[in-house]
Amino acid sequence: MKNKEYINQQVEGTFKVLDTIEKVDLNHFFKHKVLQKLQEKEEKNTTFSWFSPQLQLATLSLVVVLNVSAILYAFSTNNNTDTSLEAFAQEYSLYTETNSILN
Amino acid sequence: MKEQKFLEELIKGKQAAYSQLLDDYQQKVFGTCISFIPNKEDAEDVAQEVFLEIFKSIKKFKGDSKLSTWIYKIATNKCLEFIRKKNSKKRFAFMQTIFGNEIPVDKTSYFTEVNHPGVLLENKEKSTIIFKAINTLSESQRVVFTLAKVDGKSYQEIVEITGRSLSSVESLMFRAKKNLQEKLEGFYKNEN
Repeated sequence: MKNKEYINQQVEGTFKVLDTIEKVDLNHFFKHKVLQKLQEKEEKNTTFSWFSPQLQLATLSLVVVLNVSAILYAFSTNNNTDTSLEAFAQEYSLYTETNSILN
Repeated sequence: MKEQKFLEELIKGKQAAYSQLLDDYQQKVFGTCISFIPNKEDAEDVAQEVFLEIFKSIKKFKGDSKLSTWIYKIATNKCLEFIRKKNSKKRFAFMQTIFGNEIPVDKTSYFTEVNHPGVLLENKEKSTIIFKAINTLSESQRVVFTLAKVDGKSYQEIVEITGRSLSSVESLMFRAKKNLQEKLEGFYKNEN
């Protein structure tokens, strides 16, 4: 068990440490680093600054519309391909009603 | 009037204004950061973040307070944010039990890595103990105590930075000192 005087001395000494802390100089390149980071950020921002949220929404809508129309077109042209194939086969006598040679 | 013009130039994003602001405040902001974060590299990183935040949100500065107060407020918040993040990471790896009257001499706190270049070598052990003890205070007590005793700010400046009344700052300071006294006594009582 430590005596009270020793403890008080230690506590006081520990508090005093805060008064003895010396000034720490900043890295010489600090300013340069900050300005460089700032410039990098600005460049990043200006690259896509024209791409405003409204424009982003419009682009997204356009892509969705294009996709939907492409799907619809693909399904609708499927039937047309069948009929045009049939017509082609008939024209060149490639088309037979019978599917089996046994009939 | 001069400050108003300077502010306008900052808002406009003038490089010269940014450069001037850095010249005027880089050392002061770093001083505040290293008072909270006793590690030169970390304090510099946080100081950098402080300036990036200042330039980002300078448009939001309405001039209700002095520019310096607003800057110190950002610096204090960034430091607390950094310490919170570091402590939560360390706490995750919590292994040892806390003994005696607090001040865990363990690896649960960021302040086990005190590396303050301004601390004299013979005071290194004691400074680690005091920084660890400060870190166990409540956030409001820690802010007031650190700004006053480590960063050397006046009570009036602390009032402006924290947005508290003078009596509230004094009361927080009194409680912080009392708590630290108790924690340190407990530590030295149980010291081997």
